[in-house]
Amino acid sequence: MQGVSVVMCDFSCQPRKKVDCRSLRKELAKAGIQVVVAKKPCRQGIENLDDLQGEKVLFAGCPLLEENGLYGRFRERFSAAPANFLDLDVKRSILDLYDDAKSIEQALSRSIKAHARILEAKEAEATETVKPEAKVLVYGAGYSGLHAAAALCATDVSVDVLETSGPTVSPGCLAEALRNRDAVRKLRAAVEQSQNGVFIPHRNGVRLSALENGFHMRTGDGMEALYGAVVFAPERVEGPCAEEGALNLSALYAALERRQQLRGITAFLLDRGRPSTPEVVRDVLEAAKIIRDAHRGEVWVLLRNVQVSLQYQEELYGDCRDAGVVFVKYREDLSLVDDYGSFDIAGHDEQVHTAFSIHPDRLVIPQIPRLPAEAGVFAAALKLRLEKDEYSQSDSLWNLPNDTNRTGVFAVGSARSGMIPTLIRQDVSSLVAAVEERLDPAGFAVEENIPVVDADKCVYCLTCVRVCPFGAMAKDPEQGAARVIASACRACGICVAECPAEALEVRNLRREALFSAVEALAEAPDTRPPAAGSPAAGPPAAAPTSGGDS
Amino acid sequence: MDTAKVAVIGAGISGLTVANALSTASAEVTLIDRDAHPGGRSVFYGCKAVDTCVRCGVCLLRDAMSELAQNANVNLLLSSSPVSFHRREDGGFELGMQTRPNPIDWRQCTSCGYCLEACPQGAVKQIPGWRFTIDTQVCDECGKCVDACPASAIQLHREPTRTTVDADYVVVASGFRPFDPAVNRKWGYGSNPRVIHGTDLEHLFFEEKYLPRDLIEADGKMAFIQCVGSRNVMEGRSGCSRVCCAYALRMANRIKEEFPELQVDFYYMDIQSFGRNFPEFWQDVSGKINLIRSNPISVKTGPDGRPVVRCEDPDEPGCRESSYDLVSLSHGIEPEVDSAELAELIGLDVNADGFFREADGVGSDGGVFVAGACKRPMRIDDSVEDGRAVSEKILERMREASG
Repeated sequence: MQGVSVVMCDFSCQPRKKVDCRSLRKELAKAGIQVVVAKKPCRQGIENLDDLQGEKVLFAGCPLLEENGLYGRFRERFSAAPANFLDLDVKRSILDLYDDAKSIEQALSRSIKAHARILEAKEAEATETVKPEAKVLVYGAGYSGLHAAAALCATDVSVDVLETSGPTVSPGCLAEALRNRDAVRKLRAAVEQSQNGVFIPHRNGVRLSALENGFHMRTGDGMEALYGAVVFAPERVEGPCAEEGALNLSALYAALERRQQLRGITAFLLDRGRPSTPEVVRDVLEAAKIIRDAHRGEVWVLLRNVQVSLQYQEELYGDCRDAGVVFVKYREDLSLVDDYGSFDIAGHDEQVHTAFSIHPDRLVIPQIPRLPAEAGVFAAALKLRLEKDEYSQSDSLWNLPNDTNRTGVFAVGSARSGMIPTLIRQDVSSLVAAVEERLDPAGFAVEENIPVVDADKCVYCLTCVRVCPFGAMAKDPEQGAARVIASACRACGICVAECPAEALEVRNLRREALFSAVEALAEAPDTRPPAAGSPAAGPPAAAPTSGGDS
Repeated sequence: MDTAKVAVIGAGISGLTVANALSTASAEVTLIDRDAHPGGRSVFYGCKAVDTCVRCGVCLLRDAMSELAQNANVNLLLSSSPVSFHRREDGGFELGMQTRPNPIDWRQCTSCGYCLEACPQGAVKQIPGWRFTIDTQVCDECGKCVDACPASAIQLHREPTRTTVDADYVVVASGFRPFDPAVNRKWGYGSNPRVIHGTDLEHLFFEEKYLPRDLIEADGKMAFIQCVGSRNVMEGRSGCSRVCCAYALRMANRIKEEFPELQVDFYYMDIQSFGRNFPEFWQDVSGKINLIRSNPISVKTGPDGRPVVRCEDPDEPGCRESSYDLVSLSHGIEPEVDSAELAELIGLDVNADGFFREADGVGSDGGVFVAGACKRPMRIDDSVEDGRAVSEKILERMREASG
């Protein structure tokens, strides 16, 4: 192999394993691979590196080399392009698995040969930088959307807010919205008055297509714009209760807002069918307290578990009890009889071991907050993956705080999870950081291993467009082939695997390179230790039979 | 703009999140921790996935630590605590730091592990995702580790040093202290080796990779007791600690996966829901464990030496007693033991529970921020979200300062 040099650590930190670097070096030289053995590179750096300038270099060492900045310094010193550089952690993958030198040397030999072939096949491509358009689209003019828009306007980026006809607050924020009726209006005014915030009424027929430097939007009335980032921030809406005559939480709060007198018995029924969430319980507790304090109504809260994990919620629960709210933790045998809006509820109180039965004048059953249909249509246009309960962020922790499945599209506040106002405000801060990073004037570098479309092989079936989890493949009607939106691609490789015509290859890692690497690995006999706990486990594998050793 | 300098006190998950986020925005970060390793408390927790991820967040910490390792802009100052704090006239801060270096120099350590093998006292600890450290409380200075180390990274006596850290912004991310059940004799912690707490269980199950042998034989019985040190005015914490239902249920789920025959009893008051897919998780785990809605009265030792949990019977009038092979007390989150001193040193407000109040740029002209569980109980995912939010607030100040 021409042009690939290997820098190998001398593994002197493992004196007992006695890896014979010199014999390994000779063996690899026979296969055409030049090896430099570095003495304690993690501590002493690497000497004799000047000879390697311009070569492709494979480092075989341990994570300490990365941690001690060695690779960074090398890359900087020789301006090593990604195609000319590869580093391996042979400590965790080989050294730590074996005790005898022979097995280690064989495994190292195979691994180095295979990776040298991969490195040899890596093509030098210029890294692309994409500069997204410095404009943000915020979907949703409710509490979350307006907070986000106001904060973004304050950073001087141009913000368009797409208005929706949905609610302005979601469950979790109902109590605060009642206390502070002007909140939403003031946020709206802040955006209107800023120089860079504009409201766009949402009409049907919004079309979105992803381009290299952003999302192109065209509305039904012919407005067009390009956005470098999109913030998805719809509020969520509670559906009506299945039980006729019962109120959902939003309806109760609407009544409170109208200053309707809530006399008689109000009962809240939680946890039926599904556990409640802490922010909904927050709104329930606040409403219960208001009805007791201001309206002097009798209040029962029937639930299975009191959610108190938010800060100060235990105190709020205590305040409700002090105000005379009756809490009943019911057993599974709760019965609810709905006689055209007149309710009879009976069951057993788990805490005091007695039966109870009430006939409330008003029954409030919080419903699971849902995404408004309109927002769902927009999400579909954006190819946004909606997960559990239509939240626009998957439950994966790796998306925290504000990422979605599409690069450049962010979720904030009630769009991504049930939240109370303080947490929404906190979330808006991290959103601003994410948007700023996305709109960095210096641009961002595209992933190295994005796919490349061979237009001659492509049959325009658009399987890749359908399977891409990140919405990074699109149609190119002029070419009659698929095209890659490099800025959205996260180099997962699914399209390459799924293409029936094999028209997609990973840039920088073509099929031939992969196959050669597999061949190299297949050439030597398997000397991996057997899995722990299997009958074959015991002393490390004996020396292999003669022949087949290369 | 001039490179802003940020001092982050505490290298746990929230401190790491802030340090990593700010260092990429071209700030010069000094990340300080009193331990000989970064990662804080959760570095010893283990991944609780069974066949699917349960979103415990331990991987987020591991990722933050490896990001730190590759981060050239972060100056890591371990085994150090602030002993003085001055606001300069130009608005910056000067922190006087005292460093008591660990015998193992982390910059030299190659993680080979020979010191751990050589130590007869068990004083050498392997920090998951990091290197090795020596617990100087346990070490008897025999010197066998020094001889065994091929990197000459160990020196048993290192002089304490004093340094000054200059910073334009200070972030306090000093974390929490888990409630010590030993302070309340009713829990039986310390009086019976089979009564452990949640943090002990993490060590036992993940580090040492075992549970007591007889526990996993056919009739093994284990109990989790929730709300130990939380929701209890008598123990000084009236609030919920937010993390315990999450960690205990995930741990119970993980243990049942490994030992399906084990009987697991779960003593609770109210189950706190966590995460968006909680309903599915709850459906799954509630079928595997025995839920007992009762906060126990006491955990004593029975005649056979096993712990006995006494509680008010949730179903029948009167009390109930059950014997277990292992009792895990799910202890809650409290303010750090020295948080009052730190608050006074830096000038932070403390709330009625002893946690630091939210502080985004407090002080005579701002510049001090607070992140993470030192403000209120937080899970790992909460801490990451909070850390990111605080980072942005600092970035905003940096943008304003540079005009």
